[in-house]
Amino acid sequence: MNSREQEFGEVAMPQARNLLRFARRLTSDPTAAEDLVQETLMRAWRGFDQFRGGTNARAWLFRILLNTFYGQGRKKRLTVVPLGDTDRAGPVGNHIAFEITDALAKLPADQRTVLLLGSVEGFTCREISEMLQIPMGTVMSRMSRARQAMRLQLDLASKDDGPKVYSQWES
Amino acid sequence: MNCEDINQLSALWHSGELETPSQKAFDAHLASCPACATAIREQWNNDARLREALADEPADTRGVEQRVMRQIARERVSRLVWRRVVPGMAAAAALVAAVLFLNSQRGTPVNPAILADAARDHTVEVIKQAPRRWRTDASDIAVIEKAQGISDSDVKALETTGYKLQRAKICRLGGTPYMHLVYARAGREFSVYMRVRGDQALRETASNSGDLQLGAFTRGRVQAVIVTDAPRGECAQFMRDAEAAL
Repeated sequence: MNSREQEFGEVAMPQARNLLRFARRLTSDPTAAEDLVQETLMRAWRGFDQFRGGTNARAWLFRILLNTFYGQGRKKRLTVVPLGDTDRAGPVGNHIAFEITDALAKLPADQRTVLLLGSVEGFTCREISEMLQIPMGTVMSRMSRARQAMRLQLDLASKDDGPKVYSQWES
Repeated sequence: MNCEDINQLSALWHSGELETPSQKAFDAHLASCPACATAIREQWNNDARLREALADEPADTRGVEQRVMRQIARERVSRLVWRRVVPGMAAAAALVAAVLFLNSQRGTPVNPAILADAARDHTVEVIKQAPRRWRTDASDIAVIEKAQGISDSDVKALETTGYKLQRAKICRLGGTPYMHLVYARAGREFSVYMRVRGDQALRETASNSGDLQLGAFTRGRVQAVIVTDAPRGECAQFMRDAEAAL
């Protein structure tokens, strides 16, 4: 391994777990997710000369992953796909984790993507806008709808707990 | 700021992207609106639950990482081959091609009159079998060879092509005397016009005239012009074999 490969390993490999976790939700297919991450890392390696040290490596890698995913004609697969048991988070019996990942799986793909990027991966709306190459206003509205939908889904799942108070913009 | 504003700006509030004045106005609205406060609080809680749920999810990336590093190593080797070995091979191939080309271009071009005379001679004397004083006896042929300064071994060497010497005579091509030898196999006849080369070697030539295939080359001390009405492929093979034999 030469020094450049070592540097790449230090910059990119720590993000592999986050990339894989995100790819699983994006593809709804564990095998396809691994392939997507592998391809993302290889593309990142081939473009490593263009990566400037000190810039946001996480955002750079996620952008490559999304470009790879959309560039491979997988956009058509971005539908609400019920996730299999292997895609559900948390240990068996973790009812809360099951409920939340189930609610996530029921979101439309475009909302699920921005919610994962924002809520889970911690990217700002501006970063998400650049990654997905969509207007910032679109990111904000998708994020807002995603959070509302999650709230509704989780409320339906726990409706025995009693009625909830919604504001007028959640009806 | 009203409830609709809260809805529109909630994403920026969660990500901490609101400017300070907007942040203050947002917080002020939440303080005075229980419905919005509940909604935002639940969104905040759901985000936290989602992060926690996915953080607990097992994600073994060792396989992916190993495959990536292996592929990177393979690409490094491949890049080395392309950068160092292939250019060397390409240069060597180019050199060989250049040498072959230059070799093929060496020598003086064949006088077209010689080829034209050879084509006419083969047509008249071999195809149409016009009566001529052919020598068929080995001793008679040897006399012609001696007169032309041609080695008997060269004449016999051409029989290694698989075609047997049938007859011989002297003729003129472009005003220069040549020994006209006819080799045959299974009814297919080749005229080989042979003479001792001059100072200049003849440039290797292959062409056709109507149904006739023509070729010329210089090998050792012998210059040969070949004519046949056999197919091109058979003529090319005979040429190669004849050059190798001489």
